[in-house]
Amino acid sequence: MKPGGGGAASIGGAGACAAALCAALSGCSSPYDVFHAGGPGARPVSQVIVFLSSLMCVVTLVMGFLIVLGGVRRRGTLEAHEAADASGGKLWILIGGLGVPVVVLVALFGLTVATLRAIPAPDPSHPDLTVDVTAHDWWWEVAYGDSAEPGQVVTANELHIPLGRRVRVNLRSDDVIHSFWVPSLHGKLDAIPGQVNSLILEADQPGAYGGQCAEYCGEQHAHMRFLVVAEPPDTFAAWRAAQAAPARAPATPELAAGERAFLAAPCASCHTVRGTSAHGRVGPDLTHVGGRATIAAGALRNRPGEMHAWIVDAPALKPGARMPPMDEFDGATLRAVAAYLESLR
Amino acid sequence: VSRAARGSVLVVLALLAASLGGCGDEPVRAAPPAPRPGGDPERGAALIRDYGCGACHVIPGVRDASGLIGPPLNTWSRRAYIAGEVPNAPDNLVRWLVNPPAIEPGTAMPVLGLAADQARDVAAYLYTLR
Repeated sequence: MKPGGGGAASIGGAGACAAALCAALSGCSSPYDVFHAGGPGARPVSQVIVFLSSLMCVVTLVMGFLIVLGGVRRRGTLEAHEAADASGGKLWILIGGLGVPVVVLVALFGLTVATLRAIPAPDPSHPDLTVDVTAHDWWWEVAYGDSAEPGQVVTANELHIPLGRRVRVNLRSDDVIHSFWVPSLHGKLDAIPGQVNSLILEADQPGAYGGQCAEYCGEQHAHMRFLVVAEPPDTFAAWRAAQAAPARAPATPELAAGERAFLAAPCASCHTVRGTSAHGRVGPDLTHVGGRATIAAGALRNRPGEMHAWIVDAPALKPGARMPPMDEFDGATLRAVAAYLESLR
Repeated sequence: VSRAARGSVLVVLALLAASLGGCGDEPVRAAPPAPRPGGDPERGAALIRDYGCGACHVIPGVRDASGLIGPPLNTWSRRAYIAGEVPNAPDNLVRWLVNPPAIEPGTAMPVLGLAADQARDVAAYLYTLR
């Protein structure tokens, strides 16, 4: 090997690694951010991740330095040097190859165990609020309150939680194993068919946190996202009250035509719009779909163009999605149906 | 040599010249210069991504713009009509992008919420598609 070549590559690698870490730590904002905790459930985890990443960079730098050193000291041709002393390296191997890794790995094990203990346990006795989340291929059903009592809220792919409150999430699955993961708020927890798993979600920083299915669950696993919106308690209360209300009545003739077309089409056999004759339970509740940030579990943003496209050809936009193509509407009817759905805020 | 024979030789030569000269599948007239709507194509490309145009249209140069619901927009600057209704001129395209049903009441294309100056940027990008 050309002396110095590997060293330069190592230095480059270390530099890139340091740059990536700096970028992550300086808060290039991502909705899926393990470096910046938004609540007590993620803070110990983010501290471990920052520590691990820093340690990784230090190790990379030290190794890069040693490689460069080796290259510089053995610079030149083989003839110019005596044969390397094969007996002298044992201490290096013992210390660097065995001693240091054992110390580091044991310390990291201890740190990880301590971190697991520091995450708030889902104490069943005193949650401030309970949310039922059911995972489906490939979306999340979210329910506040019991279906027996009035004021139950059912929505999809979007949890709202009040800041500073302990929110117990009861996690179920309707089909296969999924995993509920909001990197800035909590570690992963699996949603397992036939079992209820619980975690405490608590945010002390307001914001919209990204969530993602973290257990491979089929074709559209990657497009199984959700949002956790942490907002002040009074904002949350207003949101919940608005969500509990039935769908708003169409305000214009176009919206009324859209509602009629929606109810006459197959849409209503899979979707619920509370306050209308649509009571389907296969797909997401659309009572307030117009107020959500995304559609199709984060696959598309909730804008008119995307909404129209999703209605017409869901399988093309999210291959494998259970929603069939809906190509029976003429242009004006399609616009009316989409406008009606957008009006359901 | 008779006049008729001379004439047929000329016809054969003319046909040969024509076939070698390549009037074939090539368009006879050159593409006209693309219209200049006066917007900023780069901002237009960002708006195209932002408004999800690619969910319905194939748009060269825009990532993931592979929708088959509406017509593909490749070679847009060479299209003669918008929605088969009005000539493909910059002002018409801006009007179309702001409010498609105003031009073609039966269209499936919705009002996307583009302001006129945003529509001008989008038009500027579409006219870069030669």
